Amino acid sequence: MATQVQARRQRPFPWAEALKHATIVLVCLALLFPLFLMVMMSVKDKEQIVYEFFAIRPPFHLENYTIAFGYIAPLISNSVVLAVGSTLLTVSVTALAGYAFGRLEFPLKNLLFGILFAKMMLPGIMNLIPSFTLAWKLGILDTPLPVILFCAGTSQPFWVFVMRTFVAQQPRELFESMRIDGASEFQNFRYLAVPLLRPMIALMSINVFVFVWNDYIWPLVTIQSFEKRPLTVGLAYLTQANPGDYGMLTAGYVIAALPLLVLFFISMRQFIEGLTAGSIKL
Amino acid sequence: MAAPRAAARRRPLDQLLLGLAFVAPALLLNLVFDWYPMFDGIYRSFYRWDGYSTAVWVGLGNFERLLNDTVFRTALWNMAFFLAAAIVLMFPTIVASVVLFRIRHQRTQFVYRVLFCIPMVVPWLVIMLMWQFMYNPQYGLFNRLIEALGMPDLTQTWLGDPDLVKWCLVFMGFPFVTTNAALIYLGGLKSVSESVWEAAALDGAGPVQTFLYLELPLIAGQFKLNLIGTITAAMTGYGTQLILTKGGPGFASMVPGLYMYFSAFKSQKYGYAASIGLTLFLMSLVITLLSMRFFKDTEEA
Amino acid sequence: MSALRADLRSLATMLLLVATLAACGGAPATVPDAPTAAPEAPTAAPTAAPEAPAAPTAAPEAPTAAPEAQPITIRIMTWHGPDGNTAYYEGYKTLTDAYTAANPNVTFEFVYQPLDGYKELLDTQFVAGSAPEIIHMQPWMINEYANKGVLHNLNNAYNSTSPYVDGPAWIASFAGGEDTFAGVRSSNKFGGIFFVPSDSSAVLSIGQPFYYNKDLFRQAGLDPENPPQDWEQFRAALAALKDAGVIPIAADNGRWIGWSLGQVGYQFGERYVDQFYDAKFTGDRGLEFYWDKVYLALANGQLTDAEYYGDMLSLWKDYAQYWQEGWTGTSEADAPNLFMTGQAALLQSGFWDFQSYSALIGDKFEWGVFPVPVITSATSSFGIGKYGAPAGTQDYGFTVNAAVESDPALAAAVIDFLQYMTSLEAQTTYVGIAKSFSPVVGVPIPDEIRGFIAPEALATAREVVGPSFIEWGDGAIWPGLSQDFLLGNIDQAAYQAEVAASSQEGAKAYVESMLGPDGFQASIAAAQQTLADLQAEGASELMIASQQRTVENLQLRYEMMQTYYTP
Repeated sequence: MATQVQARRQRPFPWAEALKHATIVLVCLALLFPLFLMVMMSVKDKEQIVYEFFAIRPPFHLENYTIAFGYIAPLISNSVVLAVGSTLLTVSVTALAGYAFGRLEFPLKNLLFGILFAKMMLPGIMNLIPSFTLAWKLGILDTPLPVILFCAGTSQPFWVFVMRTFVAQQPRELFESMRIDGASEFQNFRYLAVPLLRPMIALMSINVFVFVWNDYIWPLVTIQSFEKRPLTVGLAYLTQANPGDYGMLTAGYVIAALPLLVLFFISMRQFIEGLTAGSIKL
Repeated sequence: MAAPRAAARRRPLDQLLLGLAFVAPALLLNLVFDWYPMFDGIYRSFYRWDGYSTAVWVGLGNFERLLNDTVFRTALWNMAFFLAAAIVLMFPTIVASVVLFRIRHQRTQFVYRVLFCIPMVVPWLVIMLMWQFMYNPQYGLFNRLIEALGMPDLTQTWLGDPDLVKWCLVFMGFPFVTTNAALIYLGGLKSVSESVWEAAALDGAGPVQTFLYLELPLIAGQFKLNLIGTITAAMTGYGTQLILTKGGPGFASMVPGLYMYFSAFKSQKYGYAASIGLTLFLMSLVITLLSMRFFKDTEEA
Repeated sequence: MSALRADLRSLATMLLLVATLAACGGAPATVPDAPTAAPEAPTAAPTAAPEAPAAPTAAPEAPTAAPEAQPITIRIMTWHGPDGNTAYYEGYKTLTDAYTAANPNVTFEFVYQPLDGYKELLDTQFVAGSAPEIIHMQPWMINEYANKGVLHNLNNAYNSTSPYVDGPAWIASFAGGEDTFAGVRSSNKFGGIFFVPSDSSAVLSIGQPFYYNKDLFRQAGLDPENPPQDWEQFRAALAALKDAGVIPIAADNGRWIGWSLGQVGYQFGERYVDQFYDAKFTGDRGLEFYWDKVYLALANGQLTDAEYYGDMLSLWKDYAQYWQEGWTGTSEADAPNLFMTGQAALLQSGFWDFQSYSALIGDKFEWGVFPVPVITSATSSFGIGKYGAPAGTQDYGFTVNAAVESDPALAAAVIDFLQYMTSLEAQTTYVGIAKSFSPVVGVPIPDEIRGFIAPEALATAREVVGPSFIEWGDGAIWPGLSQDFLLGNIDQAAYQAEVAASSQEGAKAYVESMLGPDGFQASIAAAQQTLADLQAEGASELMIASQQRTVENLQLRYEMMQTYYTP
């Protein structure tokens, strides 16, 4: 159906399409330049970084990768556990709340939303110790729970807001028709809102995942056993062991980024599915 | 907003229970793991505290002091500059999203979207290094290019120039297309039925007209979202300044967030830092609410 | 209604899901071969370097500690990691291995944490009561943690005999003896000593010298083998470099502001605050009151204007013209690149960077090291004309977690190990491996780092007040104000007034807190209690005498503050 619609939108000027592609390609090039630079840096030694930062010429120090891999590899699975757990919990509670704030009417709604919303603007540079004290009193140290629970607690306000906006934007009739069929509100959520929200869920998942993936201080202090710690700890060791060796460190970053790239492809597929689901309505 | 018919039939208590059933997990997590630890910071703003000796109650003393703090005032002006720049620079993202949306070939569009996401894996440190090697007055790329073009008089000290430093920091956002914002716009555009565009095309609307009268209004909700994200980030952010300029030259690039950070960790004035944080919070909240009100009004008009 | 029930049921399912998820997350993820888990001995058992004189080939034997059998594990937290090039860690590891060999019931675990995150980890471990027994701390951390009351006061241990040194007290085995701890004692509210010094020396003036590019010196017509010694020669050299189109000094917008101020500033105002105090607080024992004297003078507004400030500040500002253009936009990480790429002739840095610079510069240019030039009367009539006395005071090292006090056997083992670690033999082994300095009498200095010691004859200035009125001010403000002053955006009078006001305010807050109930009154009571306990236990005379001195010292400090503070 979608392709038919597009066929009808075909315009007579092919150069207009070319111009669009050119614009986006230029933007992509600018966006991807740091990544390119990062890959280039990752095969340089200290000297090449200082003396020829932008140059691309041999020797390429591939040993950066073997050394960095030794620091990071054993910790990757921990990061996966932390990031997957945080993402699942955060996304599910956020989607539920976003749906309710965008769709339902209930007393105290604005107050409750206000509580979440306001938190977005409170800079939290000094709550490390209070947060830690809380995690300690709950007896959850040295497990993935502090990372997962605190992530779910702190990273949702903006995304609840996003979900709410997208849900509220949908035509009311869509939900009404289901409601009349005797669907429960949860079924509405599950079978209508979730598919509609899929692109935003994908985007949020990426954000939460990347955030936990790169988080260092919080998992460091709440997970004491080295063998349970995430890969950012490995990166910190790598940095301390090779001071000022940005090439080596960047190699570590590149390795750490590979799982993220896989995730992007997967979530972007969700994004596409979300779009087809989106065209169901009306 | 009129309550849906189904919901209207429910008694308020049932409505509340239903609503709570959905929002309670998020709200509880947020209250326990975000708000609760934060109260420590909030009540400290009424104390003078160095981090270890007994905190001394000073009431509103910290806030009074803040009113007369010239550094804080400078920081606020700088923040206003960064905020204005951030809002203006939201527009390249909108244009890029619309252009991306109009690319019809879905497979290509998919590839572009993935490419838009990829920069998220590049760590902050690499970005900072990159700009450092561009801005450095002595060996940086920019000055070398200017020299290569035969205009050695035009070389700059970039981050070392009080008049240029803020522009330099703003320019680090180049090409001013943010992944998250772009994908949120795209999601907004995609969730609108194709038939709307067909109608527009039948009316003979050109690309610019379509943009102004169709796409732009359609993503007003998404714009509001991103605006609030932008305001929050611009008002509370300080990472770049911390690494590159330390707020200098002098206080030319000092922002309230950095001043709060320095007050807490460089001069151990935790209470004062907390009061800066609380003030920033209230200001962001007011500005956000004002901007939302503004948009509501324009929407209704 | 049925819909509502369905919703609640679904919600219950969701929560169950979350719970399951949490449970899965809780399962231990075991990963083999983690870098620090059970640190193994460095592969090549490091024998002392051949050039280190009289270094024993094997690690010295540690006599067995008195209490036996009970297995004890001591955790040592440090930022010197087990990886590749950290010779410090190898050095410490050699000592712990040797100690375990002699005392099989005592084993060690190294808790290695890079400096990034070190303090955060430590803060939280103290909250949870899981902080290690021995903790390596940087100078600025020690007072903070000592004042928080989480560190063990080593005063009594220092005044007991050590099985590893001859003589009446352990403290005497440190170069400079008990005097070098006076400053440390007076900088915390307990009047105690909370660390065992490491990798430093209180009797050597270990400067942060200039690394200089000899090729660029030649290019500017300077003699690269005769670097400047006093400020006049220095200024001439800088001017010559600048005229030759070379950047004289690589500056940055972070630490350099304090460092450059220190280079100039701490050559002014020796014993300047003594004029405000009675003789019993000055002279030979003056160092014990140094911190309080400066705080008090700041709080009383006596340091707002001193006759040497004019010269000091204009000299500093004059110095700034030799820093690269746009230095305020150059970060700490960036500045060394100017030196590395041969664009700047000078860079200031510490001895710990020696190895990495050697490797990085390689044969790109010829380079050397010279100490910060001296400001003599030729430059300013207020110039001291000599370097600050070799620190005169210990500054950093290993602290002991106060939690060990609850386990006497553990506490005894920790102290015994620290005493072993600072024995002449152990230190000699250590510096041979680590190429570091030692705080202990008679330990040889490795040749590689001799160049970092300032000329002995010149290093005699004591209690230099210098730019305290700037540096003791609000750390969020004075660096920015200083930039404005150096760039000429504000004049000297305004700058001086603002930084002085800021440090006065901070000092007032400090003095008032020390005069409050949690200040001296509390610490005097605690020290008196300790004294009473020692007397009741029948402790050694030396220990009792030292504790009496602590009490007396605290009382004097309290008296001084009460006498001289004008609110």
